[in-house]
Amino acid sequence: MPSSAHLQDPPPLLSRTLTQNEGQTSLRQSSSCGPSAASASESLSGSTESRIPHSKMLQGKLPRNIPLEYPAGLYCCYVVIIVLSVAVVALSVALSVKKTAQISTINTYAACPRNWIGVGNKCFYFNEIPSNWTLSQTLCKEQGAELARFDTEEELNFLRRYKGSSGYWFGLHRESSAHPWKWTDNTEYNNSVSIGGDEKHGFLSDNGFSSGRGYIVRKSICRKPNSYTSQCL
Amino acid sequence: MDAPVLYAELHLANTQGLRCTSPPSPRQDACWGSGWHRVALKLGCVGLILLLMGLSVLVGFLVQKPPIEKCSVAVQENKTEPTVRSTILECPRDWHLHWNKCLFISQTSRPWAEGLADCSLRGATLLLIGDGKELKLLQDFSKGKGQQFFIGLKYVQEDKVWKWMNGSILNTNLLRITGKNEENSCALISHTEVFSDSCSSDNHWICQKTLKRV
Repeated sequence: MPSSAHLQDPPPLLSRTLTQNEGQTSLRQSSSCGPSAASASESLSGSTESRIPHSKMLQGKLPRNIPLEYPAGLYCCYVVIIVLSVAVVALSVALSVKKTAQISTINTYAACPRNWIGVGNKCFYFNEIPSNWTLSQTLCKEQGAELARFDTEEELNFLRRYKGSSGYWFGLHRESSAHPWKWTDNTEYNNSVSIGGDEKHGFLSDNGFSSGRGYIVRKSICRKPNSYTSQCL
Repeated sequence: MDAPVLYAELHLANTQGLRCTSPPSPRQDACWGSGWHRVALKLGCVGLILLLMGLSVLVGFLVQKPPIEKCSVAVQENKTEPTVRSTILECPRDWHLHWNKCLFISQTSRPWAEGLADCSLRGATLLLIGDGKELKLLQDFSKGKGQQFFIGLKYVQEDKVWKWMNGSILNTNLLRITGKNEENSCALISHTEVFSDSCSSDNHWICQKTLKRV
């Protein structure tokens, strides 16, 4: 501060001449009144006192404020921003991975058409509208399937449980009561479950397997492999 | 008096000079610094808010469960309840009132002969159909159940006629049998017609008993 005062010497000289004139006028007025002169002296002393604390405060504030505020706040912001950015990136990666998994899951669930029921690698459809055996087989074929057969105990148990109390045509048939039972693809039935009745067309009843005349109308069950298996093969 | 005048002038000049020079510099520094800080803070806040929004969206996507199509075939069984029920005429529990008859619908499937025996045990007989209205009613019942039913009508090979269980001969004007007329043939009622099926086939059956006044 004192050095700055010295540098400012030339301008004060010019200002002094102006202030001198002003000072003279003020003194003349004050000479007429005693109390006004006293007030002037007090104001001068006050201004001199205020100078010192101002300079001290300024000197103190500047060095203190700069190092304290700048780094701390900025560092905090940087850390928070970095953490959040990393979190967003991680979540994006996780989401993309999950989408991949989801796609494979959808394929698995879509292996059987709508309204068909998947059991193992097969799809089963329960046709609730009664029709005769031949028409039932035709309706199955229209959907790329055959009247149902079972290859495993699991499939048989599923058919028994799911059918309820109604009778359902399925894939067994024979030429006469003297001939062996066959599936719709003409492979011979292994007689793992005996078939009641003495007719030529098999159906599932709640009493096990039975046979009836082909022109009787009943509900029916279709079966076909699921597309997932087909794709794997 | 000249000397004090000079002193006063010097003090005033110094005070005014300091005031003129010192105030603008700290103000300018403060304004410049504070302005930059404010802009930086605003940008920082905006950035943080955007990041938080991004986070919440991503978390929402992850938490969301993939839609799984539920495959199921609804099996609807509408039980036909008796249309008319008077306080005087009553049927036993689990039987249905149809005009002047109480009808029992079997819950299981068996050959015709077993159905006949079951009805006897219940003090009833296999269903006898008296007229076209009753036939239509029972066909509607079969449609509602989605099932077919043995009734008390069988082919008699010796006489080559269909006979009811009460011994009367079928009036072919009343109902027509679809299918074979041969030995071991029993009548099976469906939602559209009455079939001739094998008596040894498994089917549900309907028993009837005449209504008794309570």
